[in-house]
Amino acid sequence: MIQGILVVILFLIASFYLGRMIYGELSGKGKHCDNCAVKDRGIKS
Amino acid sequence: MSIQKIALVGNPNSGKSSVFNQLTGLNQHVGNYPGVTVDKKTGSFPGKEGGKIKVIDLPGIYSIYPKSEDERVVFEILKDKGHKNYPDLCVVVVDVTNLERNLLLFTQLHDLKIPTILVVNMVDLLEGEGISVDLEKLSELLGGVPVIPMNARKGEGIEALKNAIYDFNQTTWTPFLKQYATHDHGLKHLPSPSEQIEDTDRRFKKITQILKFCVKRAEPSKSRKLISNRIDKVVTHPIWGYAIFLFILLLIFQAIYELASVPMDLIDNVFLLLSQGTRDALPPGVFTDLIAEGIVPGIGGIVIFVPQIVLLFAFIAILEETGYMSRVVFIMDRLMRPFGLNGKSVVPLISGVACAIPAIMATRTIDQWKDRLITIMVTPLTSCSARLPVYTLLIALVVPDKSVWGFMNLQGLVLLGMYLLGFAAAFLAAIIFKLIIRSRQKSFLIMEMPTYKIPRWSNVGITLWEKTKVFVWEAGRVIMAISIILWVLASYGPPNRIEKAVSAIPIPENVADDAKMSYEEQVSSVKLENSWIGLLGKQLEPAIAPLGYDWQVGIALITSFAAREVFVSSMATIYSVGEDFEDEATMLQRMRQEVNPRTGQSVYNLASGLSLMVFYAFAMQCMSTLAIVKRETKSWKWPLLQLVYMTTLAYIGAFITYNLLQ
Repeated sequence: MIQGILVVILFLIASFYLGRMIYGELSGKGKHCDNCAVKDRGIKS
Repeated sequence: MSIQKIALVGNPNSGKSSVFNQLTGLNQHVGNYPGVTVDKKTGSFPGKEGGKIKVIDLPGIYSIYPKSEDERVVFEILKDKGHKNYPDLCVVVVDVTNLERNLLLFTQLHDLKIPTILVVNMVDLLEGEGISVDLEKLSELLGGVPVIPMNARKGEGIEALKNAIYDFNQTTWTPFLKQYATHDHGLKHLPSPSEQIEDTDRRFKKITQILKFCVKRAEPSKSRKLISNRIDKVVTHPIWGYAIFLFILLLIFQAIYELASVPMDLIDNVFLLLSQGTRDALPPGVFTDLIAEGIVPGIGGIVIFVPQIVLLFAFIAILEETGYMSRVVFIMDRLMRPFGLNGKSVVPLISGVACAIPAIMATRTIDQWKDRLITIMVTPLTSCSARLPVYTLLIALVVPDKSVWGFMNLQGLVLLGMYLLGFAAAFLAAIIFKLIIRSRQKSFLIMEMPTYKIPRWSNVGITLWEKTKVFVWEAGRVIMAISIILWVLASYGPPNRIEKAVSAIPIPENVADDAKMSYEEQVSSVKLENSWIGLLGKQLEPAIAPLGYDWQVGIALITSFAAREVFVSSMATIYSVGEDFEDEATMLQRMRQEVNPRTGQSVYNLASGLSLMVFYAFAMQCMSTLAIVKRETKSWKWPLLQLVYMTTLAYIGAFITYNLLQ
């Protein structure tokens, strides 16, 4: 039972994280691309 | 005068980013490679009496008059005293071995009445070049501007520069050219092109006169000059240059295979033990299964490629550090011109080998918009580091590990082939885009050949650490999230569907190990097939079957849509779900054992494996790249076109490959 609840919680967190990341990237506020771009080319968004 | 904000300005490759790093203590990427900075970077260092002094590192420019996007960044800031980034002080960094050309920009800034300090960088090269510079005289002839000698790579002179910034107090100002003397309100309006040429010409004449008084050139050290010229003659030779580049690439890919195999095996086994250990340590249940079958194999699937990624980045960093990368840009320009690519497209295309995102940013140096757009559209075809895990996994599966001509590894050769395929596709796509976008303007790559330098190993180390950290941390978080979601979707299905399917499998009557194992394999296969993700993969199967893929590959294609590297961890999760962990097979072994029930052949054979590699070589499986293309083109039209054309190209390419080899 407890294990099942933990799985559901992790699943929800993962879904939320992924959804937020996809929304962030597509709306131009992505961190993934900014992080390496700042390091490589000095880009500030 | 209290300095709050300073800007670092200078020609490309004059060492501004090194000065920036020394001042701020940050580790921004520095390359012996022009155009490393294409937009401003900011940092700070402590002021003399508390507080912070903001430092802005601006892109390298040759003149204040802008021609391209990166030059416009500098122009926009410096033209207007009301700009939020307008500095209290400009630190102009010049390369001591090329003062004549470097001082042009300094004189332009000085005449805009921007307070300036002149940093004469790379003084360590003076002796070898046979040059001596009278810095006091130079300061005097430039109107009393503070002149600081530096070797920014090693941090020599940094304290003198900080003190000069702290103590800066300009009381008098003498114009360099008199007609700018009244220019108190910034460069609001650009002079006409003819005025720009006249202005530049007059400045160069005066700079030449000044340098006659303060620079003495002895006959340069013959051996050094000869060695440098001799190296350049060979490495930029129309035939040998390419042969050497190809040989270096070959060495890199061979080394990636040879050197990485031991740590990769080790990591693979560590993660296998971790999965087993988790199962042993935690009480049985779904959460334990999620960790042992979902998260651990998913993360392991990407961490296993860290040794190869580290090696790839190490080689790129060393090539940049030594100055060889600039020679590569030079010879590639010659190769790319017949394809209609702009000379300045070379840097983005070469940078694309590491990551398409900074490479697309680097297109800002291209002044013609149509040429820039073509480069943006084709750059993601060059094989980035995220494709490396996909290639190496598939190569290990379908290409035999054997020697060719006695000294080369066949797997390394195939990997090299995949990278060359990426370049070839980018060149061909450029021809087509040239016809569609109709860019007929010609422009040329003018770049400086930096001197050859011994790599700074600390810099290589920092670059590796940063890149690896970004790769593991950024990709790792996404992979962890996807592994959790994937495991849940692969373990559960529509109500009663899995149970019904499993009960339909006949239970073996004898209890022989082989029969029992075969039954268990069938059960786990049927469970996955009837899970939510299995059903989704099955829906996709008719579309991808002509490419030689089954529904399990289909699942990985869907999950890796956001980022290519997710493919590997998805495969790891898919092949772990429901597995018996007493069977100590690694992911590769499990994939090798996979048999297509329709054909009875191995799922991963040469035809399907190469077809999958070709698919990943061409497909736009990177959401971050799409986002950055949207940002750079300010429209969704171009990233969507890119997505459609690259996916179509990937499908057709994979279809042809599979059918030719089948």
